Amino acid sequence: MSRHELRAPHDDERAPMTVEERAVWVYLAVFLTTSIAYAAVVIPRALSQPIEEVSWVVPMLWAIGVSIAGTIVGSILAAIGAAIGLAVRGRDPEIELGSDERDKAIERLGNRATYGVVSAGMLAVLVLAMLDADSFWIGNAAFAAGFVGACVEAVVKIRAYRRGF
Amino acid sequence: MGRPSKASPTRVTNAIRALRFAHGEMTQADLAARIGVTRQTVIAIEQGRYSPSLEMAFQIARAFQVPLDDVFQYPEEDPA
Repeated sequence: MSRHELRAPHDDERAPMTVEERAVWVYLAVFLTTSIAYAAVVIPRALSQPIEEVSWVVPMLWAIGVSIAGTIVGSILAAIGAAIGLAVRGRDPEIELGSDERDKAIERLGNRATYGVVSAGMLAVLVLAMLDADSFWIGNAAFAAGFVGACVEAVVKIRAYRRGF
Repeated sequence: MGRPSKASPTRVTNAIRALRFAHGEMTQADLAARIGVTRQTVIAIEQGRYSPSLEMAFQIARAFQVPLDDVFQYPEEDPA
């Protein structure tokens, strides 16, 4: 379809999510999925054998790797899908799928909300290390801090997109 | 005059919707293109869900060729 056939949206047409908001939803979905999968693998092991014998490093590396790759690939696919969806309806994707100062302000808002959570998590990790806790607890406390921080960031951003700030 | 919704996080109100109609029924997409933002941002500003930067506020006023006060309003404080 040539660009000449694409038109600007009318006011009464529903505005789609911006690319940045889509990326936040993808980030939340991917992070929740991989974290739940990690917990489903590691928690049964932790309940059935001594903590120091639990194999958690490889599942965590997989969870982190899949989260990063999944977020990147998912965001790209979501953006492409949205652009195709708009183009199929004859609407110019460039008008509605860009990013601007509002997206940057929401990004800062999300980062600020995460900062406190991750700082508290790192403090917990430090205390565990000082107490000479098993590496299982130290590694998983750091992972849990990252998980909670990511969820808080995503929820704050989605709330800002939906309800304003 | 535009009023923020009950759930609006800002006390700033705006007359963008009225100004668009007064300027040849300019669409949200037209205004967005003029000031270089997405249509979603124009919608968020109109609905009082986002207070734009001062720079963007001036760009909006310039798009309508009116002073800033004609676009954005802030209620007077009630005397104590």
